[in-house]
Amino acid sequence: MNILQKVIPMMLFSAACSSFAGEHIDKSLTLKNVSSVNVENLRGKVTVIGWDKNTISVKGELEDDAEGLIFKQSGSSVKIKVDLEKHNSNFWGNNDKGSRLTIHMPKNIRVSFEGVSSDIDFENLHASAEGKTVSGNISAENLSERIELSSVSGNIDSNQLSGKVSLSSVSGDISDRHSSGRLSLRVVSGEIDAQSTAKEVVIENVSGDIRISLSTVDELRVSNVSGDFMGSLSLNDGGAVKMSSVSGGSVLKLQKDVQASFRLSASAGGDIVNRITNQKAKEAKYGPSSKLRFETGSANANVRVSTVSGEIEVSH
Amino acid sequence: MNKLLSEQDLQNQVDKLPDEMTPQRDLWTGIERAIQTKQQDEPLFESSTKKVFVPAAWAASLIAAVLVSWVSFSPQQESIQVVQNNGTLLNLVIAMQDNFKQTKQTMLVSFGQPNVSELPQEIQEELLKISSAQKAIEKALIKDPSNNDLLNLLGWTQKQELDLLTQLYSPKWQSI
Repeated sequence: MNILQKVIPMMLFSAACSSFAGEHIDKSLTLKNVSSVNVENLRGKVTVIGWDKNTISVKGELEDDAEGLIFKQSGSSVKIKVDLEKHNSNFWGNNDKGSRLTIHMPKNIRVSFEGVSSDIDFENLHASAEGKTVSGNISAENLSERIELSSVSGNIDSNQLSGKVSLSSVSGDISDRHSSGRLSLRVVSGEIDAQSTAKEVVIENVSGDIRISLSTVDELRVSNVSGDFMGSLSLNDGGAVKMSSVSGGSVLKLQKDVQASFRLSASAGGDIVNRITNQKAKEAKYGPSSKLRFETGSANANVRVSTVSGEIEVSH
Repeated sequence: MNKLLSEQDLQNQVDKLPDEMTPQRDLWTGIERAIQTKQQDEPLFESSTKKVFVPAAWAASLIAAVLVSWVSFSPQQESIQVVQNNGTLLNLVIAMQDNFKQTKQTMLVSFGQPNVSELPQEIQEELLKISSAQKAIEKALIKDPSNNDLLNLLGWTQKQELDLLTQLYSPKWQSI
């Protein structure tokens, strides 16, 4: 009886953990009625690649401290989790010592990843992807639908994302190339460097610097505290640019034949530089504020830029 | 001679003239009427002046009062309005801070009140960066309380801190 009490839990544990510490992994699962895949890994690196097959394949190597890999379907979702030893004192750990896994999965199934110091690579996934890590780096290429990637101190590097794209980091840098659709970029102290064809763009920044190159835009909204913004875009008819900063500079370059109504204002000592027309900002008779309003062409688009003490520059 | 006679005659005739002449008709009635009329006319003249002057004075006073009120009080009322609005918005910021602190405290209690100082140095630095960002935004909001973008940014940085604490202390990682 005593033997059974010890053996049965061990057998159950073995069933749950089909792989063991330090082991090479090569597993696959044929899917039926699965709508999402959830991946969890504390440290190391996980690469998730979409393919046309109806199976999930997991290959790689578990870290030394891993007790095993959970890889199972539960309802309509599949869970892939590197299970580490309980009471592991190395909560944070060295990312280089972490597990390294490559997961192939159907490209039309939703995927989510969660980690602490683990890096994550997403490739060729087209039914929404969500990735969240603390200090790990995030790389994403050729994703579509709803994309939400966030890191605290890690960098985000993305290429060819389309749909509703949201990238955010606290102190990490964001580099985005060739995204389209609706793009949202948020940083606290990290820097943003983006070249995008997104029609609607939202940028929120506290102290990082922003450099963005857009193509034809319907709407651009930028909220900035003390970082500097430098952006170029072609504003569509009926489009809108709304930018505000506290002490950060805002440099906006528009197409030559832009047809917009401009309202630029600095409320407490900021400067306004207009390189589109000859009109100059009017300084308030009393107080440090200044304003500039002018129109170009049919003025059917709107450009509103306000700052407290930063500099505003608009140019062709 | 004629001249002497005539002089005598003239003197006689002068002497014969009465010392007083009574008018053929009683002029006093007319004089009295004239005096009364004048007395009546004068008050009449005064009252018509008053008729013009008093409303004009009232109108002028009213206009002056309105102008004084407009010049003196309107900007003050506006500034009072701005101060009130700013006060309301600052209250909103304070409410956001209070709500955030409460949520954070509840969250930490639910995680067993972990000691944040035991976290790795790099994560403590990240928490410090988020906290500094919140302070910078709050400082900017004091100058410009009606800035919705800043309010959104403050909300976002608060959410970042809560998300980070959730990620760090969620049971899935703590069971490790």
